[in-house]
Amino acid sequence: MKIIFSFLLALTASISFAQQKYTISGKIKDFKNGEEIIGASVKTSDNQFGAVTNEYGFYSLTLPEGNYTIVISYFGYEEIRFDVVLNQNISKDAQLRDESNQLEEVVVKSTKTNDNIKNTEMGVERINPKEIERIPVLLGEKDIVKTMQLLPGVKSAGEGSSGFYVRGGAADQNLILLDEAVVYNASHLLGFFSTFNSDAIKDVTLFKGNQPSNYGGRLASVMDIKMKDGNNKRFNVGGGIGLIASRLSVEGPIVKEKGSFLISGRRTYADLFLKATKDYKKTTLYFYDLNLKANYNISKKDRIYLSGYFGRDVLGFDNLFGLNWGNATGTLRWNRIISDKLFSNTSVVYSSYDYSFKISANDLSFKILSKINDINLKQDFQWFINNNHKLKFGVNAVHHQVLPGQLESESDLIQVKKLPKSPSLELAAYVTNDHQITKKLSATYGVRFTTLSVLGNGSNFYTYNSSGAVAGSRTYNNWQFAKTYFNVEPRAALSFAYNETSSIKAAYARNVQNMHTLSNSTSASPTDVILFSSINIKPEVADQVSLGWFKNFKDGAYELNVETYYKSMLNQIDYRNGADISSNEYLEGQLLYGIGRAYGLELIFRKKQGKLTGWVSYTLSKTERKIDQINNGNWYNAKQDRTHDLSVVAMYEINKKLSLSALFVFYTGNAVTFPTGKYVVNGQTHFSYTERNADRMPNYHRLDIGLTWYTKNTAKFESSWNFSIYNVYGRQNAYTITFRENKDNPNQTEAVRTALFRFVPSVTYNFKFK
Amino acid sequence: MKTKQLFKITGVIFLFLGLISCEKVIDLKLKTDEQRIVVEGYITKGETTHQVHITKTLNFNETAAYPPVEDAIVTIIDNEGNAGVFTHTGNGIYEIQGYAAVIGRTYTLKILSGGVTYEAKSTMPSEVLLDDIFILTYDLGGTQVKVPIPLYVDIAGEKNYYLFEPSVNGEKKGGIRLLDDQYMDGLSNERPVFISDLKVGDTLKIVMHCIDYNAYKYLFTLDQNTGSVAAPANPESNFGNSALGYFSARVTSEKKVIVQ
Repeated sequence: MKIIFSFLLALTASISFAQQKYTISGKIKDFKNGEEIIGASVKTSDNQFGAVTNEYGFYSLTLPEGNYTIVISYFGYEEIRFDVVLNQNISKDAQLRDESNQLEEVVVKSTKTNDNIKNTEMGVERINPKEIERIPVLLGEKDIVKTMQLLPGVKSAGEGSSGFYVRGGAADQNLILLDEAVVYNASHLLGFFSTFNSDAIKDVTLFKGNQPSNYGGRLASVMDIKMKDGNNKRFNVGGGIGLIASRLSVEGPIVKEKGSFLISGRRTYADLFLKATKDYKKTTLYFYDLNLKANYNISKKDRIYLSGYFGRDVLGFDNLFGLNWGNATGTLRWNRIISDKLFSNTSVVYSSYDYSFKISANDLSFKILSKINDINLKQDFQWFINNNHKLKFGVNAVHHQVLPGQLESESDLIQVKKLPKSPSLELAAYVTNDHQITKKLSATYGVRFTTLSVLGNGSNFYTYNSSGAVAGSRTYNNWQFAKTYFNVEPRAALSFAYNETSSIKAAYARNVQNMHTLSNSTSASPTDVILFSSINIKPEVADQVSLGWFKNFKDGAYELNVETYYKSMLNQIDYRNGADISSNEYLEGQLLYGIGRAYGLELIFRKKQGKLTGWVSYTLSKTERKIDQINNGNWYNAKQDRTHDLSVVAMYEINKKLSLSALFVFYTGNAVTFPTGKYVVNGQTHFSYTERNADRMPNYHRLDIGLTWYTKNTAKFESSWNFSIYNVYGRQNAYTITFRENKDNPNQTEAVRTALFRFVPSVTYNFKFK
Repeated sequence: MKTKQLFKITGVIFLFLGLISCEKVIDLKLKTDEQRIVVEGYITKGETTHQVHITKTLNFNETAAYPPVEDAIVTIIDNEGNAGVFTHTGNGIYEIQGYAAVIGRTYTLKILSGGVTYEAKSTMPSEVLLDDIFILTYDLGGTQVKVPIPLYVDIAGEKNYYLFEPSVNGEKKGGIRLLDDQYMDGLSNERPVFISDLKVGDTLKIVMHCIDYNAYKYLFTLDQNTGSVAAPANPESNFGNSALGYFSARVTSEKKVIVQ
């Protein structure tokens, strides 16, 4: 409450001192394709006043009456300058040209900006799919999620995995949004590929725990992915042919300069190779993605966007068994520029995830079905009050519905128990302000209020005693509120730019999470159980503080960021030993609750200009948990605890046609539980264990290299070849370590390491008809 | 369907990883722990002679035989006060004779060893007998796969738990095979137990034990550790945390077939 009060005070103070001022506002777009540019800088030439475009390319800059030269710039684009006489409110759109369109003899000079120094953003990573084109990747499938794993504080969940851990958070503590829709399972093919087709993506931002109040719902991070809008000037067909998958995108105007569409698809064809082999002839194995988007300007002030994503993985063997899973999302948005200072966005968002697992053997066949779907209504406002205050506020209501592992069978040999769907209602309201306090000092502060109400579904809700046995039960009717959790999430960030190129930043945030994924296997699985907070499961809560130093060198050619964080977590969940987790009415009795803590140091050094570009990123960290009944109630290493994590990314432009790249990764092995002893029961050897996660997998390291050859670039057509080798020196990194008796000498037990992917070469051909 | 088996089948998904993965025995430095006592005791319905086997743990890298515990005092008592004492017959095996095992009674096994008392309880479950073994043949991509289905009729209205111990041509198969009646209360069983490489002409024997919930839970957890669980731990023994192993009162029956 205190925060809101001081916030209101600051706001009224600044309004009451307002002089005669006018506003210049508009949208900034890419000249070539009409895509709105997110994060472009709009400034007066004396650097006195400035604004940044929002996620829809809109800016609003309020200045005292006078004459100005306005400079609009964005990394990788030519800057634009124009003069204005500001004696009334002005609406001004602008289009920026890509630097690569310039003639070769013109010296390419990227905009030097110190925006990273001045803004209050901490623990934020941004990726533009264009920047990552040349980074080598597994099987040639460029993947934004895997590229994010090369940044400090973000760790890969394992070999080839698109799962990731942020600042000691578990894989389910990342909120992944695609055009505002939650993507529940962001991985294909058991995690080897992410569900995001880079061809359809415009911009990716990852907030590592200090996200502003307009985001909420997960403890560790928010990965906000925005799809391209589609070229609104001319038709384009582009695509790529790779070893494992092919991609095709079509985009173009619906009505020139008024609206556009994008359709982008991807499908793997590994199963075609499998069909050709004798042993795997009857195996089905593929995935596909489809991204669709359309937008239309219904008036100068109103724009409608419709976007959708459909993806599915299908695995199967003959008619015997089949497993398929997929996400579907849909977002309908209405942007309205209410005034030159007030921007509104209204969204209706649907997202769903489901999997089904089928086994049929003669007359005994059954299916396990699991489904989650959300309907989300959102209203967001951005109010550009003046140059010192930019206010965002909004409300949001989500209806969740989960069907956790329903067993279905037509066979009368199996008794099917109908599990009820579990609905819940999540409401949120937020307000956040970007406040330029002095020229050197800026702050972002806000608060988010959230409630989660567990809704009745006409069947029993059970409570459990400390050993997990049912202690009581009660039935709630449909839409009856069985339990409501209310949380206040204050957040604040402060930046002090003590000179033009250096700043110190500090931030605090509380995040609350009502969705919980239960995983009992070493790697993420499509069949992991997803639950929302219930009468037994309380919302997870995390408090994170961080402190950082940001420095630009040589006109922004180099950048060094150092950040530290400490995070404490409440209501963390784990299984009891020996939990039986699937299709279980009493599942919540199998859970244990505790606390967690994580702390670390993150460094990144980037070289952003010249022939050689890239970065070195290093993280030193510790993540622990403490849960009653596990490890005798003592602190133990979380699975994702990793002491050292280093990535080196280098891209070298040999000439206009050839570009080399290399990637080196090193990290400490995950915390695991290895046996400390062995014994015999019923004639078989078993292993005994002492401490939870007290052992380590071997250290992981790998070098990948890539070569990109731009074969053609004309006005009508461009094409390139991409060659890469994954794990060049063929290190056998441990994927799993298992223990067994030696076949020849049962008295001897041995450790067996399984390694995946040694020297995986790949080639991809990319093309584009313009 | 027992979920454990489902997950075993899901393991087939990982088959394709076999195309690209490689396995190697490696030298791994593992931590060691103090030696702990391991108890395995059974009371079988219809029999009057029962055995308890007591050994100790070894460190992972040791290659010796499991050391027997030979100086323990082992006693048993049921909930009606019938008590008895086991005698050591050698090699860590303790035996009691002339002791009746009756359905519905709860037995308490007490072991005194090295100054510590270990105690476990187990209740003799209802009697379900194995009637026959049916061999099912699958065509799995051109290969004939033989899978046995133990035929028995579950008792309706109560929880029943089953453990199966198959042997092929006199050789006992490793692994833990469990079923319960969560989805088939009171029905005839049609669910298979999986045995690899079963061929026409093999002599298959299946021993079926009806066990109580604690024993089932112990074995279920013990079996989970053999898969790829994120955090393996010692299973919950009915001896509590003091000893490894378990004590089980059980009803046992068996059948033998020649695989056709």
